[in-house]
Amino acid sequence: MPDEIARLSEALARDPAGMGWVPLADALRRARRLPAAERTALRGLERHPYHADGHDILARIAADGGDAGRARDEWEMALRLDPRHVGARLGLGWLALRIGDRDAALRWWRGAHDIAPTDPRVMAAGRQLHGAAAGATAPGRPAPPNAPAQGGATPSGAVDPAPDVRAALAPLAAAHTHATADVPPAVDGPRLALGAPPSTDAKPATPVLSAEDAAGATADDRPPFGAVTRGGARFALLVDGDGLVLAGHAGVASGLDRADALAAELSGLSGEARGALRQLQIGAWEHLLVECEALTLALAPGEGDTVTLVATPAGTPAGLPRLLLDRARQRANAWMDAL
Amino acid sequence: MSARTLSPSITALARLRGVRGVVVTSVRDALPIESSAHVDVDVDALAAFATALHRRAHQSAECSEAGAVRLLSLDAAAGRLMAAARGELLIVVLAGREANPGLLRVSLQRALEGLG
Repeated sequence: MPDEIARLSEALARDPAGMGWVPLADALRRARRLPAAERTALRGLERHPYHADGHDILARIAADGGDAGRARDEWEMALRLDPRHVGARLGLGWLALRIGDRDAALRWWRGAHDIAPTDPRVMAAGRQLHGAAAGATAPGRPAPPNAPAQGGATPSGAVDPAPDVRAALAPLAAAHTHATADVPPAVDGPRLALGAPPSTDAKPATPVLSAEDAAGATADDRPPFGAVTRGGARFALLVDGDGLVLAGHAGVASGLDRADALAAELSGLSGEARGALRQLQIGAWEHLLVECEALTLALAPGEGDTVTLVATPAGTPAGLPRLLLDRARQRANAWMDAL
Repeated sequence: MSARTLSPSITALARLRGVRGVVVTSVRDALPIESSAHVDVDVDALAAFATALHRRAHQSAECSEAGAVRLLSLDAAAGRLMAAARGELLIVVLAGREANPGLLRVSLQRALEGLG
């Protein structure tokens, strides 16, 4: 494992703009170096925010860290970016099972099965799901769908960071353990490389890894919009009816945070939108998208008189700003409810 | 549907499913230059409000260093409003919810090119 990490890190150093961060993040995850894995994945997603496998890896890292909510966000994002993403479907099924929703877990599995019926992960998950449904709950050490292969030679239990999460997910999780144990890594291809056994003695050792560690995560993880910015938004902002910032930031191209000024402008813009719609008699406004040369600004009304803004870089696929906006609005509403 | 002499791309835009009105207006004074709209659509009001919205959007874009506004799309419970500017001209489309927003967007961009 240390050799693999070193090799992958060196490969990323040679081509920092390439996709080498995906297998590196996964290798770090399997080595249980979750903070380094997360930083690597976040750095990669900054460059490639629409890479479904990148979000899948981040979900796996979150699941390994016991953060099911974040794992769900990332798997949902992976699925939005690639509706045929088998790993994301299995991951969401795993989450459904975690809360005892076996029907939903089966639906996710069936979706994965329709796409990749011969995928070993899908086959193993199906065996375990159906076996568990028949009362034959799979024995063995529980693990999430992203669990590293236990393999016969690897001692179990030594590196499990989230036994409580995993205990709730025994059947499907065991399926994945089974799958990864049965199937050589090559079956999964370069995308996930789930088959390798975990290791606890990996050394922090490569130039790129050190640089990643030194740089830390630069994506904005501040609540409530951390997942939105990781999903490809440049920034997100929640503004009240008086044009005051409630949450988020607006780091613009010049490096300044223009949140306060932009909040004031947004208040006027949303007021203008309301007025126009009232006059044109087409009902209450739901979204406003302003496509500009450098950014797309997506706005939506929230609870009370609040307005949520998500800014995405120019060139973002036209449908994505609205998806991110919906997510941001949900998070903003939940965040305000929790205050 | 009322119509004056319109460029072909504007006419094509007006014929899209769900479109209730298309107005070409001046960004500067918000007065309609040419239009094709259902009889129940107040073309003057459409031009005025869309222009005001576009100006506000332009201010927000300036504030966020987003660059010039290319296209504006407002979705409401019972309809959609889209607008795109080229120079001093603003093309505004008012449509029902049944209108395909992707098709509207592309057609509006084409109509904008046709203005040149």
